[in-house]
Amino acid sequence: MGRGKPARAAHHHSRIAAAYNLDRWTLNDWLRGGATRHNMEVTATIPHVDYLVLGDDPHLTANECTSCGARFFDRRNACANCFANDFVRVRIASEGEVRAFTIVTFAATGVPVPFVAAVVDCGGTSVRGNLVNVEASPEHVHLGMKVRLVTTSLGTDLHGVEAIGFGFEPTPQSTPFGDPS
Amino acid sequence: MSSSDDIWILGINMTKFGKYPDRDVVDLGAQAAMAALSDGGVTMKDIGILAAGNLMGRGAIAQNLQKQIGQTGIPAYNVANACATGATALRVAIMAIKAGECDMGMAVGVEKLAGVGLLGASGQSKTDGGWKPEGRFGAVASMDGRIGTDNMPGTFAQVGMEYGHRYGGATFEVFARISEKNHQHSTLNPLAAYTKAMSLEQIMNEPMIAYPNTRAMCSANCDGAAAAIVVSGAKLRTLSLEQQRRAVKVSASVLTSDPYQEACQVLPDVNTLTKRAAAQAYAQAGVSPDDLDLVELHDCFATAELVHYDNLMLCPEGGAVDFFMSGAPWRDGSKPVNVSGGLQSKGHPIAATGIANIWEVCHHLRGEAGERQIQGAKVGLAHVIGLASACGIHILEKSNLGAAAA
Repeated sequence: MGRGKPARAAHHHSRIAAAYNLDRWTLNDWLRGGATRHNMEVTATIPHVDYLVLGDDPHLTANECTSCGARFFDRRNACANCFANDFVRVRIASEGEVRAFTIVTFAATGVPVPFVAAVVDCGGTSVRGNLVNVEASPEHVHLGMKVRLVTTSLGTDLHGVEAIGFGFEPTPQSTPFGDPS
Repeated sequence: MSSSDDIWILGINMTKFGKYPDRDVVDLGAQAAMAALSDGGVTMKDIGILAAGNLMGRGAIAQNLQKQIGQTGIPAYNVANACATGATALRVAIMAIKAGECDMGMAVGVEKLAGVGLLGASGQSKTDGGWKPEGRFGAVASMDGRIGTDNMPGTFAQVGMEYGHRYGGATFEVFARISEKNHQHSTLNPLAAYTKAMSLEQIMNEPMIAYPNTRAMCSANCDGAAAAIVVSGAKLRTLSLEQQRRAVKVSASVLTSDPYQEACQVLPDVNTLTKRAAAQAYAQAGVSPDDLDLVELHDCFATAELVHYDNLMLCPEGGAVDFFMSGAPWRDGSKPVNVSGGLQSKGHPIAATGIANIWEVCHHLRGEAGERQIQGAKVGLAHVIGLASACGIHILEKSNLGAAAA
């Protein structure tokens, strides 16, 4: 990851943020105290993965090589394509097209089935994710279908923190296609 | 390859693939190793290097094998390279000979997988106390099943679907027909784990694992071992005419890893490294895909076999569906593919696979394949791929030595 990049500075604003990897919006929400439940319980959120940014406008980000533009969702030491070692955090388009999918009906213990696993082409960047809000059958999922990012709940832990994940749902025909960024 | 540094397979063996509840990996590996020595007419005294792989085991398979077949003090290499482990072990032995360290080597691959479930799936459980970001994605929960799939049937299903997206025509039925072919082929292979033909309808109605791969379209987890003895051309020419006649020439031995491509870390790109390995192998051997009499390719899933027709240049780019539907890759077709039954029916004891597919090709080139013999086979190709990724390709040619002994 690039040195001195400010994109994720919010994560270090407090011990709470550091502990829960909260983004700025969630932290502010928590600090306002508007989301308390019971006595000490706090409704805060944490993203499933660190490349999912929550808030009013949830979206995915990637580490983009400043030299060649290759994008990576996990942390990097050097670019796998050009060996440069400076990266910038960039926003990934939230709408895309299904490039490959499978319907998994047999999985490891603890993984709910069936689910649709897919590769989505989001404005030229390939993203891995599940297709959600669509029936998991070959009659309802097809290659090339237009989808958009949505968030899903993974549940709440003992501290009252809700983990938020993401998936892609079919884009209604009426929705104008375009990247909100 | 010039005649002075040519490499040959002198002896080779595979165990029957299946279930061996009373034997461990060392027993199975030793069985294949001793049979390969016997097949080549040599002993451990002749062997200058041992390379062995057992991917799912605890390590030190090479040394554990030596204790069963002969501790001669030779360098022993433990090799792990996913599903390309066997091919990699063979290449280690070949490289030692080419480097001049010895003139004869042994490669062994062995695995016990019977009864093992889904490979590649993590199924990591949710944290008990609180969400805690872990790993390179800072994930607070398992990504498998929530952000796509880590399991092999699902991963390779997407590989096939992506090909279909790009070129069209790759329907569920086409993939099932590929599986039908391999199950049919296995009926003639007594060493296959499964030797029953399955109808198209049966295959399509099998339990769905990851659409479009039903259970019959997935590689069969089983136990098995394979071993090969490789020798330099110079040494071979000092051996008997019968040994020279049965030896099989290694015209190309190639290993590649995957070069960076957009999306290759989102969905494994099994295509680019296979295409590169194929191009290198054809150039090294001085043969073209047209020259191949048979091909054993890595059909870990029916969806994988389709894309490798294209990657190995058995058809024009984008033409894999047409190639298959023409009947070409059936045993009686123009380009027989996986006449052994392939991983779907012969079985896939991971580390053994990369040597067992070479055994199959050698068997035909030696004219010893019995009922399933491809008549007049002179050139064959064996391909394996392991995710992460590694691709091994060997091109093998019938011996033109020792003709007087024929």
